[in-house]
Amino acid sequence: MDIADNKQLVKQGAEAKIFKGSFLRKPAMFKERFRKTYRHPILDESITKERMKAEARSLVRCRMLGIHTPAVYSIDFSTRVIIMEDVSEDTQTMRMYIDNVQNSNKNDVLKELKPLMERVGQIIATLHKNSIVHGDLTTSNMLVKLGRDRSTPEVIIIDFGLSYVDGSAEDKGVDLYVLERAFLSTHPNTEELFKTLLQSYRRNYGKGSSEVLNKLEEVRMRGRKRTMVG
Amino acid sequence: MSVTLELDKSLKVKITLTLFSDVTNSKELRQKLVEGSLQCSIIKPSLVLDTFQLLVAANKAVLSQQQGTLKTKGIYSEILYNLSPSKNITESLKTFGIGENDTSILVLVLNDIDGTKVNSISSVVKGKLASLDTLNMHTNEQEIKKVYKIKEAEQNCGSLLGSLVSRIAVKEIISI
Repeated sequence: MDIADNKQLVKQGAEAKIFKGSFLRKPAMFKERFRKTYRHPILDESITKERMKAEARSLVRCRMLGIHTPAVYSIDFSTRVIIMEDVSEDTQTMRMYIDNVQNSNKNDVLKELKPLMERVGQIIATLHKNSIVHGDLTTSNMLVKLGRDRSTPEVIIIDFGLSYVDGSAEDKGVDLYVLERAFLSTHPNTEELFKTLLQSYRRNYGKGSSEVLNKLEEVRMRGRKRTMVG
Repeated sequence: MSVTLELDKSLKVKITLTLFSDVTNSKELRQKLVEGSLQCSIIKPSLVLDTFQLLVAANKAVLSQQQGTLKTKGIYSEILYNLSPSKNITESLKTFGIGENDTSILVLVLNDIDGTKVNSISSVVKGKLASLDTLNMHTNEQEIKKVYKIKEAEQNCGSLLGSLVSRIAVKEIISI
């Protein structure tokens, strides 16, 4: 696929560039993983291919589990591009959404955001129960669909570029820890909200959730990386 | 009556879609496809939700052809194969291709610049030309959900069309 005309760069990350454009007359997002010149070309090719596969697989598997993710339109290993549905219409990143609610002078921010937190807890529990670790849970990688008056808010999860399949409580605990760090550092005074999220996670995960939450506690004490001492 | 749509620009390929109803010689058409005397994909319209589904499958097939990675014998069987979520070629062609008793068929040809390909196929089909706008009348959503294995949970997140094309796009790297 040509990443050339009529495409607009919207994000540049460490792994890939995201362009907005159209594919077969539908609005679409193009995620192009660029070459890392410091890697041996053959290794670079194989790493990129594996990551593209993992990303596409996670996107589709999540959808099958009832988690809203962008539809996948095309994968081209030769140009290193995954083309996805553009879900930006009528959505806002959760980061902006929470900011707006916090700045809106509403008396009860907690009450306002509670259903959203419960839904996110439920989504992550579903992911983890099915051994999918997202790898980069932040409030910028979650989108909230606006203008819908529904009892459960519609949340879309994006960027599965670092996702992988793993059943261990350790990796799930780290997944939650990454979100907790991102959450509490971007949104001040949200400890209570995050508790709501974890309660929902526990409830929806059911059996096995204690093991993950104990791991989370452990990771909080030591940080994301395992100690290599001894 | 035919509609021509362009695939991704870099591929430089167009597809032309023609819908026929009240077809009486499906058995003969199927025979001609097997012999190779009919160069096109004949698709069951009941399993087509939207032309975008066909565009995604055809785009992927042409990309494979240009990269030399076709899984089936030719581009037209590849399109049928791509439409299917299954990795079994025979089963895919049987499910999405023309059946002996089918009365409505959707014909897909590539790069029919002056219309001669569609004309020669139309002369063999015993049936009525129908407008592609009536495609939805032939669509069977229940059957589509069954073939693509779309369960209850998935129906609450995003469009059905999104679910179909996602399966087409990732079919060789995921088992459903």
